[in-house]
Amino acid sequence: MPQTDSAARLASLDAEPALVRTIPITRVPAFAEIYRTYFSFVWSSSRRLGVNESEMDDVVQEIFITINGRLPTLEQPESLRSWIYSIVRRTVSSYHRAKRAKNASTATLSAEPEMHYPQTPSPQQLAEHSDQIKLLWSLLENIDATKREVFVLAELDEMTVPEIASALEVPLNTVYSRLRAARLELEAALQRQNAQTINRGRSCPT
Amino acid sequence: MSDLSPELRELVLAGKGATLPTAADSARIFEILRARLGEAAFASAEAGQAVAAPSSAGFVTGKLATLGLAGLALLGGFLFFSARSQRAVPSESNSAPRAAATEWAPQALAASALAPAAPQATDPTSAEVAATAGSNDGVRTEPRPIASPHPKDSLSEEVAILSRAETALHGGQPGLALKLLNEHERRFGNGLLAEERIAARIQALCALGRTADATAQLAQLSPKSLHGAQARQACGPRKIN
Repeated sequence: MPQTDSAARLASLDAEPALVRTIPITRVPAFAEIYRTYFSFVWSSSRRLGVNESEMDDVVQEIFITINGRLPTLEQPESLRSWIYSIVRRTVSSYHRAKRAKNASTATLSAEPEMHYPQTPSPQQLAEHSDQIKLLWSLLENIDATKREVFVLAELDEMTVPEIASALEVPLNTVYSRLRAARLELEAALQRQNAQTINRGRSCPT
Repeated sequence: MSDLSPELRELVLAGKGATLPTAADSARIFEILRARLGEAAFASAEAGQAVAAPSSAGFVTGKLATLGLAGLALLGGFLFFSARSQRAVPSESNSAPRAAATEWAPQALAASALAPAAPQATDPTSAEVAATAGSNDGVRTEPRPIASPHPKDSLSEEVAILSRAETALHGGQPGLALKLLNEHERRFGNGLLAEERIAARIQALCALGRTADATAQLAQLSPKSLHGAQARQACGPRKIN
């Protein structure tokens, strides 16, 4: 049975390399496997945490260098994704600190990395589905950063609440309450947005 | 996402695909990491797999082994992305925006010392892609012809074809993109980048107004596939399910 489970798990990982994993991992994977499995996750997380597009390569490679160096110290392979996200968070935090130190006059970033949303989507995104993305980003920008991060991890990255709690090093209940609050605030903001759109439509002469 | 309203759920779905990297991003960083970490970091995939999961399904092990071996072959194969990778391996000629990143990541300088010098060109496809990649960088870079020690390496060829298809797609030539994707399928079938090919094909079909065909392609991807979500969103108003 363990053989079958292992094979099935690996087959699943291999078939869907870009998916967020919910399958328990009971061993520390090789670095190459981690790269293949988590590259999209690391990239997307870094981008959402406010790394400039022009500096993405530097930040992402630094994250994987750190992962490679610390892999032997990973004690709980089942928490791999949380562990990776905590490295992403710390690395991006260092990146923001370095930028803030370099550009002190415009320092508005907090010490902790926050979910900043790409203001410069790709031309393809702009051309084809920018409205939805812009709306999502604008809604997210208007809620508290801690709630925003939990919401994004839960809904966009499909991380479980225990994974998020582990990655952010906060209690489970804190994650639950932030997630619940984020959902409520976003739904309310979306309704307000819709109401404003309708009102604008009424006030515009046809 | 079960607690979300349909409208918010749709926005979240759009957001999922918004920050995904491309296959070229993955290949470029892979190459940089190989230069910085050495062969061992990636070659260990085989050993790690053999020790940790000796009972893994053959095709899975084979595919992961391919990934490990690809590290060796990628030395030249992925160098055609070197023009873009210069953002991570700054040279003295690079301007201020690069400098900020260099200060933050001083090891990037070491990487430039470790990075292998680009050999001479033998593969026109690679040179063409390098030229395309370089033009997107903001810093004008002459196409740097390069050669691969394994010019017929399948993974590098996969990346090259998909990159050309992506360029065609974003350049408003979905028909050409489709031809390239068909060529990729003919030559590589269920290659390492098969999922990326399907996602690109969905976008090309949508751009051509062939939504029924796009929907059929989408069925080949997992419902949870982020590539699928990205492709679905890229189809924009031409809704596919």
